[in-house]
Amino acid sequence: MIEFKEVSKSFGSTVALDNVSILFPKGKIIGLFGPNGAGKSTSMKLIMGLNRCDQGEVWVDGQSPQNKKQDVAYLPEIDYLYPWMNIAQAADFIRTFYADWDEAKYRELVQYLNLREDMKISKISKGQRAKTKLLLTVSRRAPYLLMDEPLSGIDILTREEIINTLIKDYREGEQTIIISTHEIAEVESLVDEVIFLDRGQIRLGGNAEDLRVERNMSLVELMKEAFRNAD
Amino acid sequence: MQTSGWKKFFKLYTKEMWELRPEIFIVLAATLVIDILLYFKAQEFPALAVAPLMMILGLAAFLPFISSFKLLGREWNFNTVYLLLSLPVRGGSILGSKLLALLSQYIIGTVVVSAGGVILAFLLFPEPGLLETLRTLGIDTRIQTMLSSGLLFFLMTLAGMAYVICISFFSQLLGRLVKRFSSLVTAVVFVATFWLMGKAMNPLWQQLENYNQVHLNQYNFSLAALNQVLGISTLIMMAGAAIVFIAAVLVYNHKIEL
Repeated sequence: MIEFKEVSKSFGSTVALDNVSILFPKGKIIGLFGPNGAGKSTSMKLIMGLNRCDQGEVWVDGQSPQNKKQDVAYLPEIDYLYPWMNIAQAADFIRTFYADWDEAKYRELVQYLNLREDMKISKISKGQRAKTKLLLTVSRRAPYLLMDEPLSGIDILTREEIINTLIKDYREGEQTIIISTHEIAEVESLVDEVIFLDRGQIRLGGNAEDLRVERNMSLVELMKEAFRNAD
Repeated sequence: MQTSGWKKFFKLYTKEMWELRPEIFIVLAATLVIDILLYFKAQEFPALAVAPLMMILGLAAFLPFISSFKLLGREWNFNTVYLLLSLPVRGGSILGSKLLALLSQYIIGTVVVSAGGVILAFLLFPEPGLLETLRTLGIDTRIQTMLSSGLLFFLMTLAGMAYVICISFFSQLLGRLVKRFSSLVTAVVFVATFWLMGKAMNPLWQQLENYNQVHLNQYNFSLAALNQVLGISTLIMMAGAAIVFIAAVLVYNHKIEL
């Protein structure tokens, strides 16, 4: 379980998170939704230990994020792989650090995502880079999977492949996936829980199905309403 | 299966060495070209070979310092720092692997250039022979002398390089803590750290200087004393490097954010 306790984080005068308390339940797919600048990426980075809270605490299974990196697989929005590596070299580099690396799954996903191991990261298309990042993240059997804007700037066919890959290997009840995106429609059918963030604060949160039934709205409509009310 | 810390460290080191290939190749290629050129062109005036050899040695010795900025700075420029910081390893391994790779670059470069220079010297001074020439100049050419003093001198320069690289890491990391004028902060911190560490180590250097004046002067020179001075200098610089390295690791572990 991941827990945010009254977390605040600012970058200069910009408030990214403002006294936020969140509980990310274990074994679910959680959507972290909101417009640009809502605090989604900062939340991800706090869980991954790439940022530190100004105030409050973040706990991953009761421990500091710095001590739980082994259990978290992180897919950042930006291209973070060494451009001079090919896919095989990147996989070889990453697999050294994680005991949960699943070689069979990696081999299967290379085929499934239509990638080749000799593809050089600096030479491949944006869509292929997105798929490579996904491949290297999902090839781990990590208890926590953080995906920061995995669909951003990706064409519709690649988006489908990415979502299908996630569904294909998701271990319900065992693995926790947190997806941050502002493209809710694409992942609406995927998420169990949702958190709507805006300007560093939670506007709405809860079980996705309950919210839909309760308010008779899709998640996209719910987000629009939540943010309209906030204004 | 859990991977050992050493294996992780070695993987990081291998990655850094891979990134340093161009610089290592430049030094090796330049050494080869210059040595061949000098062999054919400096037969008549062998002394002329000294200047180009010194220049190439200077390049081999100086490049790791330049590379230290490339190796760490690139992680931010290419956003690979996201990958680095998300790995389950601490700053000691990250910075240690980079330091080791840069020292390897220094060793490869200086050893190759020096070896090339020595071979060239033997070829260019066939009669009465290089060793004979050195002996007539009053230089002790016994193998154990060459090895002990030469090795100690090399270790001292290696420690000096480690010291400078650690200051480079420390200043770059502090530079990354600010959003604006990062390069300026890096430059200021570099100079300030160099100056401060110099001040802090000054009493030790002073003591060594006093020892020098008594035991290593034109009237009183012993190889044992020279080796002692070289050894103590190495230890002082290693201590300085260790202090700055620990400071850099602390900044990396506790202050660096994205």
